[in-house]
Amino acid sequence: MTGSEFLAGKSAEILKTLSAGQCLVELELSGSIRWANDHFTALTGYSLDELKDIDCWQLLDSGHLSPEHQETLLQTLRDGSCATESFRCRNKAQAEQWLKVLFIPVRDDATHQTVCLAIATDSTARKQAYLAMAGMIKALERSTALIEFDPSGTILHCNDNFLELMGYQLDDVVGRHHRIFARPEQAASQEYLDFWASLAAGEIVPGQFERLRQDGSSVWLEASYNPIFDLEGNVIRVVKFATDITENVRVNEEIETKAKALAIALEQAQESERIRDEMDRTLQEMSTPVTPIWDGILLLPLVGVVDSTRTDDVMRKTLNRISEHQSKIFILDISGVPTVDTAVANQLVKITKATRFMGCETIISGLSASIAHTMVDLGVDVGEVRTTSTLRDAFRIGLQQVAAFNGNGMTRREAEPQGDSIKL
Amino acid sequence: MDQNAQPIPIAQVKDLLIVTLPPALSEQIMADTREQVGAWLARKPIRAVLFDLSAVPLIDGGDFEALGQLAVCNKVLGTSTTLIGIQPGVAAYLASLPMEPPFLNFAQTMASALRLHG
Repeated sequence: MTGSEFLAGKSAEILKTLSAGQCLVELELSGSIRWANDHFTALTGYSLDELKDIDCWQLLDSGHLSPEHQETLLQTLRDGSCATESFRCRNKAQAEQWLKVLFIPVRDDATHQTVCLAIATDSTARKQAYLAMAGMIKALERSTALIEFDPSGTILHCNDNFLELMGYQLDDVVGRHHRIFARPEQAASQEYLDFWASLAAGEIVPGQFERLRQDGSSVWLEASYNPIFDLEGNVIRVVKFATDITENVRVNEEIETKAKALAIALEQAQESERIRDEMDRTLQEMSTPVTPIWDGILLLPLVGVVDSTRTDDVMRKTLNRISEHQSKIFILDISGVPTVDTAVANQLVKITKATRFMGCETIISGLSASIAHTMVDLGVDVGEVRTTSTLRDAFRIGLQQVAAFNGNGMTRREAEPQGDSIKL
Repeated sequence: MDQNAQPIPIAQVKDLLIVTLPPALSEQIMADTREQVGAWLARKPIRAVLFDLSAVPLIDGGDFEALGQLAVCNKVLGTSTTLIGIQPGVAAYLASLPMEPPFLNFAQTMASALRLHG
């Protein structure tokens, strides 16, 4: 008995086994449904009564298969050939359903009629996954530049985006090596050989790459080179997805250049500020030259406009100098000061007080009549500020004070407590 | 004397009383100083009291006022008061206060102060 005879004898058993695990439908060659098993009714949601005698194409999603296509398929079956087709259907709940169907024409020897056994498989999940993947690839192809290579770097194909970006026609690139996009020195480098060796070994290489257009101009690509494997794990192709980032790179370089220029400008500004500060300090030193002119006597000739900032500086430097030189007399000559305001006058009085707390008497010399009047008019509390009209008088008094101190150890208060003090 | 009173270093040189004030002044220290100086003045004939402030980095208005009151008391008892070694920053601060206690003399160093009082 041959194999085919054996199977012919087992046809009822085969059908029973098939029906136990598969969706089976019996069709007229006109497309009319004669019978469907429980698996099919469960899959579609229709009962056998609902399915019986209806045209099988009614189960398809509207417009999915053209009448010409339907007729071609039926004709194939009438000719005694099998056919396989995938259909997009709607089940009873109107949900999308993909069925992969194997049509087998079977001749009924009793009636001499040919009927069709359809074995259907639900491929909805696989089809949906495939469509999602295909959509993704199409979207990638639409939005990015794509090129395919064999593992050695020979170009197999590229999309329109890539051709437009690089300025080539498809025929210009297919069959040529990737090195046409690289600078000659780069293409000749060991690094370049290693790059293709890595891809051929199955490594993904992402990064930013500088490439050359057909006209020799430079283009920067954010790209990833992706090896594609066959079922045995061999690299059969390399697909590169690329995005043009030339403008970004240019802007980044511009920003970097500007940042460097800014850093230099900042450094120059800081240096200028340092020089200005130094000059200010020097000027301040020059504007408040507190000088020891005699053993125990300090002199500060103030010239020009005096404001509260300058008097603060005078206070600070004078007190420090008194501490350094252990001076007993501080002569503040203001004959070079044209005028003073209330704040400055009060500050001068404070300087006098502060020097006294350090055991040093202040004599303000060169006080002009106009300044004296101003101070009185402004109601400045001058207390016991000792004043003289000339620097000479102040120096004479200072010498007497120091001599008195060195001689008999008497302070001004004790030696001549009120005599030379002018209470304004 | 109060049992909790802080001992203040006080030395007598001839008829001068030298009081060395600690770096951190407080109301308690000022009160103790007043009490201890008063006790000395009651026992001995003192011509001048010299307060050494060279170790004091900060004197606030309250401390300065307390020293001023002590100077007034000393004056009543016939003794003069001298503050020694006020630092430049402290002097600038005290000059900004709206007070100038009477009967206070000032010297920069102990040598100056001793010379001041013969």
